[in-house]
Formats: sequence, C-alpha cells, structure tokens
Amino acid sequence: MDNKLIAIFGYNSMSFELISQLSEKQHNLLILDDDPEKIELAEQKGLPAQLLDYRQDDELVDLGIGSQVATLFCFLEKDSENVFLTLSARALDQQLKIIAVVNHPDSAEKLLAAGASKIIDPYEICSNKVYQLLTKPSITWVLDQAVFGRADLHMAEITIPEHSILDKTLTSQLNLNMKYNLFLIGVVDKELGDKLYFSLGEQDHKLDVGDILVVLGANRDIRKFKKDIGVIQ
Amino acid sequence: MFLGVLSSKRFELTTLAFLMSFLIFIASTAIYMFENQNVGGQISDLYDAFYWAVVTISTVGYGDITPVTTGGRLVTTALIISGLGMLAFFTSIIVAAFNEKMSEFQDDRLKASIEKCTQSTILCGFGRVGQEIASQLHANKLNFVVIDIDEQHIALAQKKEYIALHDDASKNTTLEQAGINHGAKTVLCTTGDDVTNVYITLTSRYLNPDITIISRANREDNVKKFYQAGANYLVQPYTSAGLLAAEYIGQPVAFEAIHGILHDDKDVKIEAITISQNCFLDGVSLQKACFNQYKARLIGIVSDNPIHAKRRNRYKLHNQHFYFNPESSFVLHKGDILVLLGRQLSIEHLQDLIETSRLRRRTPWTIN
Repeated sequence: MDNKLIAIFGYNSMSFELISQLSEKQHNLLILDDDPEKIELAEQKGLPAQLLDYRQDDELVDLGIGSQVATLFCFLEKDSENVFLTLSARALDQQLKIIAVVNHPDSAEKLLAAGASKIIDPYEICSNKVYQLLTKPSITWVLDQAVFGRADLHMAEITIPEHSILDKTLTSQLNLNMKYNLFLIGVVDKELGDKLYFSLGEQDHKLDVGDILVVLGANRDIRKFKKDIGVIQ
Repeated sequence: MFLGVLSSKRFELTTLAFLMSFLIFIASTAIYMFENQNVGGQISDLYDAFYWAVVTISTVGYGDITPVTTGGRLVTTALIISGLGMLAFFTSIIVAAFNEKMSEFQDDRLKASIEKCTQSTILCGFGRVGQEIASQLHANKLNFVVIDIDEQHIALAQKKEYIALHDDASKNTTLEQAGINHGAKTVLCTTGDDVTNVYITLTSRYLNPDITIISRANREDNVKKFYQAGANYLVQPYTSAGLLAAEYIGQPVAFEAIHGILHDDKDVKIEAITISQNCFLDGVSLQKACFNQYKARLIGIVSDNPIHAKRRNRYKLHNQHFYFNPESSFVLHKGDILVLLGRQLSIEHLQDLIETSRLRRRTPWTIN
C-alpha cells in the first residue's frame, strides 16, 4: 500500500489489536508512547516503537506530522491527553486524518471540536453489542463476520475504476446477488456528495468512475467481482 | 407494627423509664420539702407533689400549683431542663426505631419486586458499560436487576428507579437474591475487571447450569478462561474498537456503514425476524415472498432446520447455520430467522404483517 506513515499514540490492548490488524495489510506504522516501559514491551513483540513526548510540538514535527504522517490514532489513556494531542496535531496539519478514542461520552464533542476526524467509543460499542447479544444474537454473529471478517464473510468497498464496464450503469441493473453472490450494502454516488446511500431499493443511482460500492460477501467472490470490473488485473 | 417497633428498642425504653421514675421521685420529694403548706406553699400531700412533677416534666405546666419559695423555684428550673432532655431522648429512640423498620420495609419491597420479575437480566457492574446497557433495557421495557458493590453506582441506579442490590455479585447469596434460579434468563458481567468477571461467570454457571452468561473480557489472553468458566458469549470492547479503527484505514466508507449500523443512530438497521408457524411466509419460497416490495433486503437466513442443509453459502453458527444470500428457490419454514437490512419502519411493518397473518389463520380453528 502507500508509504505514508500511520502514527499510533499509546500502547495498550486496543492499539495492539489495531496494530496486529494493520500489520497484516503491510502498512507503514509506528507506535509512540511517553512511557519507556511500554515502548520496551512493544519492542519485545518486534513492533516498531519510539519514545516520544506528545506535549512537545517540536517532537511531533520531527516525527513527520505535517509531512510524512497521513493518519494519527490517539489511543492515550485519558480523554484530556487525547484532546491535547488532537489539538496539537490539527494545528500542524489541516489534512491529517485523526482518529481518537473516547472514554467518557461528554468528551466526544470536545474531541470533535479539537479537530478529530473520527471518534471511537469502546464502551458504547461494547454496551450496544451486549444489548444486541441479549435481544438478537444471530444478528451479532452476522455483524461480527461482516465487520471484523473473522470467517470468510467480508465487507469490502470497491471504487469504480476508469474504463470499467460498470461506468454509466444503474444500481438496479447490477444484480450482484445473482451474478456474483454478493450483497450490495450501499453506494457513494459522487454526484451527490460523499454520503453513503444504503441500498434499499428506494432510489436508483447511476454509477460513474470514482463512485464507491460497499459489498458483503465471501473473499473469492469479491475478488472475482473486482477482476471483472477491472479493479485488479 | 407499632408494637414491633417498640419491642425492638426495649432496652433503651426501659432505661428511659427508670430514669424518668427516679427523676419524678426526686423532684416530688424535693418540692414537697420546699413547698408544703407548713412553709406557706400550695402542696398539701405527696400525691400533689407527684402530680406537680409529672405536669412540669412533661412541659405541660398547667400553673394550678406554682412554687413560691426560692428552693421550690430552683427545683422547678432543674426539672424543666431535665424534662426537655428526657423528651428529646424519647423522641430520638422512637425515630431511630422507625428508620430501621423503614429500611427493612424497603428491602422487603425490593425482594418482592425482584420476585415479580420474569425473563429478567441480572446486570453485574453498573459502570460506564453497565449504565448504557441499563438505559437501553429500560427504554425497551425489559426487566433487569442491577448488582454493584460501589455505593455511588447503586445510588445512581436507585435515582433512575432501577431495581438495584448493593452487594458483592460474586457471592452466591447475592445472585440467588437477584433471582438467578427463578425468573432470570441472562447474567451480564460488565465490571471493568477480568478477574471479577470470571469469578461472577463461574459462580453463576455453578448456581444455574442453563442460564445464558454474557461477559465482558478486557484482555485477549483471558478469553479462554471465560469460556472455561462457563460464559456463552464474550464481548471485548478494546478488541472491537481496535478492529473498527483498523477498518477505517483501508475502507473508510465501509467504516461509516458499520458505524451507522452499530450505533443505531441512523434509521437503517439490520434486524432479525423469526418466521412463526402459520404466518403468511411459512412454506413460501423467496421468489414469491419478494422482500423488495416491503423495502427491506434479505442478507441471509439463520436456521437449524435440516431441510436447508444442502443449500450453498452455508456458515456454521453455534448449533445453527447462516445461509448468506439464499437463492430464490429457498423455501421458508417456521423457526427460520430472516436477517434483513432496511428502514426501521419497513421492518416493523413486515413484523406486524407476520404477526397479524398468524393470528388470522389461527382464528377459524378456535371457532370450530
């Protein structure tokens, strides 16, 4: 994939999971923490880690925020630390993608105001999941597979390339479930902005180059579909 | 009830009675000495003295007998002051007794309300996660009992008028009191500590081998231990969050979709609908059912019916199977669970249709 750096602040169970997911996909990443013990732990596991004090703007610039770093994950322990890091990073780079973790629901707005692109609330995810398990366990399994791809089912997003056979077709003509054994979840129609339209059969979209399809299906079916429309050779 | 309150404070009340009689005895003797008719006072005999002492100590003070000598007035002052003290003592004893009775009464009421709960959920741990689950359960009118050892958490739960027990959830008695063997259907272990969660899981499994246990596991290393302890399902908040964050790097649009579905904030949802016996979809093929007309799309079907066993796209799921993207020749049977993507309203509409068609088909049978 690209050579842009992904910086992950804070080494804990959450970032460890993220790292193991990302390293499978060969991303260029670096763990940063101001606690030497955690850095040592990360290095013992053979992960690229570096001691860094996020409070110093100079050190953030040296790291490559504003130049090399494309994505920043704020996985520090306290909400206040994450807000501080988000503020500093946003001031250095307007284009940076910042994903922050939030511990207390009140902090979510503060993080967004500080400039985070996305926030993740692990406790909310957890409680929603418990509630779902309680009321409709079969859905949880399906979502788990789709979201986290632990079995063969995956969710994938496919951008329509240039000179593709899908250019100028309508979503209602796709019939992905018949032809490719894939389930179309939604479409991003660039003519209408970046919003994801769930595919519910209410609205038809004309597909153009650059539009994004979100599909659910088995790996081999997704690969076959990508090959046919010219995403991969 | 009043006698019960009094008998619980027998020692204090006897002490008070002794003190009172002693005080009245001393006061009436003293007043008789200072104020008898020989010295010019109004008290003729010991009975008068006793009457005067009782009227004064009780702060009634009719004033039909009044002291005239200096000695008599001194005795009166002393008696009034000690009388006030006695009265305060008596009141405090009664109030304390009623308070104790009151908390017992509340405990009884709590026990009664737990016993009334059926199909309830026992929620162990009322922290961030527990509170959110409780509010969702409450909003959907499901029964639940909160157990937490932290006083602040319990106070919060009581403020929201949830049924709450202030006790250690890993003790057998607490779980039994919460109804693990009568009425409870599920135990949720949502404390922030894996050791506590494993211990509660183990205790619950030991007390009730059939109950469903959903537990929160914070560390990946402990997952195996939870299953050994008897948990049915595990939720790993940090792992889920990490995976979700990883999704954002490669597939930001898919991330949005997942986020929307997980958060329930958009009105598009993934929902499960069970096919009930005799409903209009029982025995109907997917081609005829045509879910598109209800503005809902079928992702797949969950079923344990061996009739479907030869279908393609089969995924194992506990003791059932998930059939992803089933063919149009797939025939629905009772007990099959449809997994649909659609707007909340469309799905509710379909659910209503299933429910009413089931009732309608059943009526001719009951009439004949």
